[in-house]
Amino acid sequence: MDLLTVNGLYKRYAGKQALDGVNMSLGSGQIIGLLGPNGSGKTTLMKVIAGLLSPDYGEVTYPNGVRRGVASKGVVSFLPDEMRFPSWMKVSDAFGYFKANFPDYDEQKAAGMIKLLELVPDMSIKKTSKGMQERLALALTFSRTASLYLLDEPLGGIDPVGKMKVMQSIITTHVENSSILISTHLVRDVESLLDSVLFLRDGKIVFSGDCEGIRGQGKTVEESYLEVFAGV
Amino acid sequence: MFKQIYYGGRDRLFLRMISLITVVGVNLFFLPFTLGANPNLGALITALAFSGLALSFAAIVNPVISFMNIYDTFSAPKGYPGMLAPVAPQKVLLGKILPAAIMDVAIVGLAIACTTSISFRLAGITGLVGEYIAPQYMALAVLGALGGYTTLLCAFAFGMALAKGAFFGSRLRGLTAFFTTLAVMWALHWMNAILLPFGSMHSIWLLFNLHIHPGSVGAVLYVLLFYVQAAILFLAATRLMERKINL
Repeated sequence: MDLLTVNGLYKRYAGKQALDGVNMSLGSGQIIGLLGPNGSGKTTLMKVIAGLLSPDYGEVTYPNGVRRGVASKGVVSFLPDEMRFPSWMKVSDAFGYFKANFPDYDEQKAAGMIKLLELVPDMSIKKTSKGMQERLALALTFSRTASLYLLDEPLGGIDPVGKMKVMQSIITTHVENSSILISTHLVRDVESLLDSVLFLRDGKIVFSGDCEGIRGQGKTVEESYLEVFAGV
Repeated sequence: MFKQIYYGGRDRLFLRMISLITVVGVNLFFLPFTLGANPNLGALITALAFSGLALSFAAIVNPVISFMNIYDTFSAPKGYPGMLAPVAPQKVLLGKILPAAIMDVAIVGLAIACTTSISFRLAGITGLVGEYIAPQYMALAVLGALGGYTTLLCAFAFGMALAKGAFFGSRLRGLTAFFTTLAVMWALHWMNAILLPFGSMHSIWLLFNLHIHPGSVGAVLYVLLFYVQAAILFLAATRLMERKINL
């Protein structure tokens, strides 16, 4: 059974069609790459699935008949491209905030993420580096026990060591009854993690397939991406 | 959670303190000294005008800080983690905004009640009109001030909801919220002026200015009207937030 189904999704901003009839479905236990150039509609699609934006047309179906909006926020754990924190918060306050507001917050998972991503609970968030703040946001996202994790550009602005740790955290979180959708244009960095890919261009899915199949054709995901988007 | 909603960091707490100190300072020192030096109605009105300005300052600073704190932890569009929380807007309004509003009302109300009462008593000692310190008048004035203040808070919530819940999400949204609040308060002001027979009220502090006789039915109605308006604005804000913030 599919974990998530998207049917005929349209979203238009002033003067730009951000989503143009997106259809897709995600199964359980997968890591899926949502790949496309800047402005292709990746973030809009993720925000609609996360319940932060309303589509103009179309529907999203979640597990167990959950409706999009407040309820879907309970089954989807979304990492936005930028997560802000109030300036007075320490790292531990941010985890306290998640504990207070997310019923699926898991203290053990949070502790594991703090250790894995080398976060310092007593440190003031505003004094940490941008990379460290991104690690914190990822740790908070993965401290929940959600059915679907949406990661919007999780590797942007992170140094190579940080990237390695982020990848480890994704592998650690990956379990059979949940899926992870990663949006990025850094194809090479995430290629080794992915089970399948969706290529998005101008708000349309222009290619979808599993990575085994792509590799079976003697290509890498990056080569396939370049073929679709650059005609190389 | 209370810390997150109300405290919001040292700089914001400091601002709250400044606003309250201004109220206390003006009411405790400026008012009696002005009246003591020149005990006539003109001096009283001038002194009350300054007192009203100080109160307005506190009455605006406090809810703005509360809303900034709530925005930082709960509001929609700029990436604060609260936007991801599976919390219904009614719960945000009732569970977060209302407690903050009650705290604002309690603190500013206490400052109003204590310092004005003391000031009027000091003014009474200096020989100024004794009728101004009648208890029923003070009670009505404080209730009216709190009602007006609650209306102001609800107008803020309404303005925020109309601006998609973002108080400082963007300049456009911030301005929408601000001007909506002003427009709502202005409309209420004229509506009250038309509805009630004793003419216009220019701000909360004028309640102290005996435009309303404390024993009149009109005065009681006026105070009640504030609360009815606050309730209507609150419900409207809830409905708007339900429709706009959480889709």
